[in-house]
Amino acid sequence: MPGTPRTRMIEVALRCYPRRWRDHHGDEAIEIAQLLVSDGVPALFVVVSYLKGAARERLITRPSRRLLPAVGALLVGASLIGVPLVLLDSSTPASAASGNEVVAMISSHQHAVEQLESVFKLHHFKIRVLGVPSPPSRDGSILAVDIPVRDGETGVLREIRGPCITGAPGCIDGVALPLHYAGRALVLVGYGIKPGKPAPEPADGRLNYKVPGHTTLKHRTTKKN
Amino acid sequence: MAATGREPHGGYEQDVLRRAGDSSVLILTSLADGPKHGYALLLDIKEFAGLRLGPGTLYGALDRLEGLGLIESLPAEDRRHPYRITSVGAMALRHHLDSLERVSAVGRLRLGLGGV
Repeated sequence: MPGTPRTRMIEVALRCYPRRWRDHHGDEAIEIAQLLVSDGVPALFVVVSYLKGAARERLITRPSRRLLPAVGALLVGASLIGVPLVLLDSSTPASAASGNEVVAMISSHQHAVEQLESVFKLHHFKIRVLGVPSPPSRDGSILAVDIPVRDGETGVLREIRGPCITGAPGCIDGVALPLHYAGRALVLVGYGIKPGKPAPEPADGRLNYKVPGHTTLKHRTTKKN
Repeated sequence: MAATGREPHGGYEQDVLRRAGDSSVLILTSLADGPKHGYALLLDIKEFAGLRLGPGTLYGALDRLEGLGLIESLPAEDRRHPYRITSVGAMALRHHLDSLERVSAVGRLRLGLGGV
């Protein structure tokens, strides 16, 4: 159905999605629309569905410009002063975007890995999150953020400090990064060693982690509780 | 995405699909018998649930489920991206179905339909 008005409507609806989404799903989305329409599904149903999906996608990536300005401001503001976003449900990823920056915050130390993974995946970032053994005081907090040197964008990820699981200050509970960040990164999140097992508490206040494909990572949170 | 770090917290022992929406549950159910791409998912869901998901709804749910590590995308075949349920996703679906079954049993009992 190339060139028909309904094809153009569908293309317009798909152009409402962010470019990152179109790069990932665009071709398949057009094919699905064509198949559905050829199956007899009304083109308007497809168009409306894509428009609603695009609106949701935009709300996720740019809430401060859309219907949730207050929520966006709250998330960003709270993250800037290092307050954990405990208002969010524990299984809900804490994510906000303001201007050109995405903020991923841990609101539940118990679900830290899942929350960060969820935010990064949602924004299609190529960022891995890995849980690694840590002292109990660092359970559910970010231990280190590593960007491979070949990606050449060191320093673009901003660590956001917040309280540790014990309530003491000095942990890293979030990261902020550019909305259009396309490089790779690895975020290490601690899970506390249970009592009776040796905890990796180093004498010099720094922990070393070896991850395949990455140089040795340093635990950057050196402040003791 | 590596599942490391989930087990120590038991993060998926609770019903994570409780607030994920019906479309997410339908997609996981469809993927439970093997990988499928978007259009095949829509057809399968229409077949077993009698519900026509909109493509925009489908992609929103797929991104959300992938973000939660409940499904993963496989290498693209032509323009199509097949998705596969992960072991964590299968566990989450089982928990959710168990939870639905409990609610269903109570509902049936209270309606006098019998059988718990």
